[in-house]
Amino acid sequence: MNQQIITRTDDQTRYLGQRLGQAVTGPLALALTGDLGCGKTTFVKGLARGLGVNKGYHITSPTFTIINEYPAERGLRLCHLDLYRLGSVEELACIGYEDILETDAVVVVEWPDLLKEDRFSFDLELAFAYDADYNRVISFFACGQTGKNVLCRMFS
Amino acid sequence: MIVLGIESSCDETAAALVKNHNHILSSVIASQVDVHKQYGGVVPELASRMHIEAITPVVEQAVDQAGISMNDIQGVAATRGPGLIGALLVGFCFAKAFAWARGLPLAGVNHLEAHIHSLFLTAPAPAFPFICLVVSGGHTNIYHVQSENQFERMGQTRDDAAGEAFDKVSKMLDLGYPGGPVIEALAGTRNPDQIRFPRSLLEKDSFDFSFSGLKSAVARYIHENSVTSMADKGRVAAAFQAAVIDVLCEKLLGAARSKNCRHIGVSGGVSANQTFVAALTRRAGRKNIQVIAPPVSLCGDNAAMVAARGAVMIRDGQICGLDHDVYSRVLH
Repeated sequence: MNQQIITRTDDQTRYLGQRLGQAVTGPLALALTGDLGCGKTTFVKGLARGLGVNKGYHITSPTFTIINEYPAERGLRLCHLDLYRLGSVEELACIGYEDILETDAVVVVEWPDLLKEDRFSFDLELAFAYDADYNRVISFFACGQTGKNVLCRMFS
Repeated sequence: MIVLGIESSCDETAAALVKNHNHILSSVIASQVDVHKQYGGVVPELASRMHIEAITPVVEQAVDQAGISMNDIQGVAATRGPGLIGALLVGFCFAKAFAWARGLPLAGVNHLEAHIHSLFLTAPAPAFPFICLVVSGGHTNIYHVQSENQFERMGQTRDDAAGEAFDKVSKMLDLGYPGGPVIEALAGTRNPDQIRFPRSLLEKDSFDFSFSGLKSAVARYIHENSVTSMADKGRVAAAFQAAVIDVLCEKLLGAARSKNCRHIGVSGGVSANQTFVAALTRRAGRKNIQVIAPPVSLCGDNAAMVAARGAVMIRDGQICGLDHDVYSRVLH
């Protein structure tokens, strides 16, 4: 099941993320792809709201910290990763990502290529791009039943 | 009192010895040391497990360079957060063990407060109360600093940190990492007004920052225009840098005005950007406000600032127990 949504403003991108967050019922792994400035972090801000992360947390870019974690509702945690600065699968092991992925977490990974090389399987992949008018084109790809179920709830 | 400081919040393993809160005896940063030669393998700065390999030699080297013995150390300070949990744990647990084994007081230092304290290692230090910007790859925070222990956060970034924006624009221009020094060098003395990028000032009464829109505007400009020669890239670099500097200056001067402060301090990696410090100094000078930036060696992550902050905490009885843990971020 695939879906494509076009958002015209940051607020729309955020709202789309929030809808996804509201559709989540358990642990989930999301891959976000797309160039710098395409709205990935903006989307995660909305996702955090949808997951019930306390508004006291500013959802900031994890590029520098690599992993940002936030307690969420439904017994979940939001782990926001950005692998942009990592150079190899070995470095990935060094940040202890296996420990993170084992627990009840909604894991969102920007620049996920290293994890894919490591044969990690995501439940959902979201591709962010611009169209000619600089709207954001956000494509959802479900890979597996968990991902399909979330998309069904989100777009039903 | 001589305090051992340890910093491992991100990708530098650092140790320093500081005497009487503000006198640096030594300051060692792993990326400057040939630790990997001694250990027969490369030490990727990023990886937290690599901090483990670096920490002992870095501390030994700091003690050596200070010309003291381990027995002269009277207190231990280590960064407790915010930062990368795995990385923080290495330095903080090392410090706990060191302090416990030797019966020394331990301070668990907030990394951002340590950056503020780097200004007290600078001569002349700013006078209280002052406004302080901590600006780096991971943070862009404005504080109202009322004493050595009172830091009121007035604003922070809502998306990307300023240093991160430099890194990302550098990446878009194929200029490499880290972006700050490359962009500043390429911008050089070029006229920044040939391209006009947006300045996101958010709400008038807010001291928060947002650099994500600027990043998108640069991406869009590069997409729509041919930016291939170094001259083209230089124009983009100069215009981008000017936009960041404008926003930082505007918010800092606004904060100084609202709190009636005569001094502004800047610290963190981006405060090594001389174009920024010069522009801020010029604009603040018109309002009779003095700007203080630490020497470049204290701008990026270092342990001297951690020792300086920790020394004050120990003096004032803010001691950590063995049951204290690290934290990745602070709830706003």
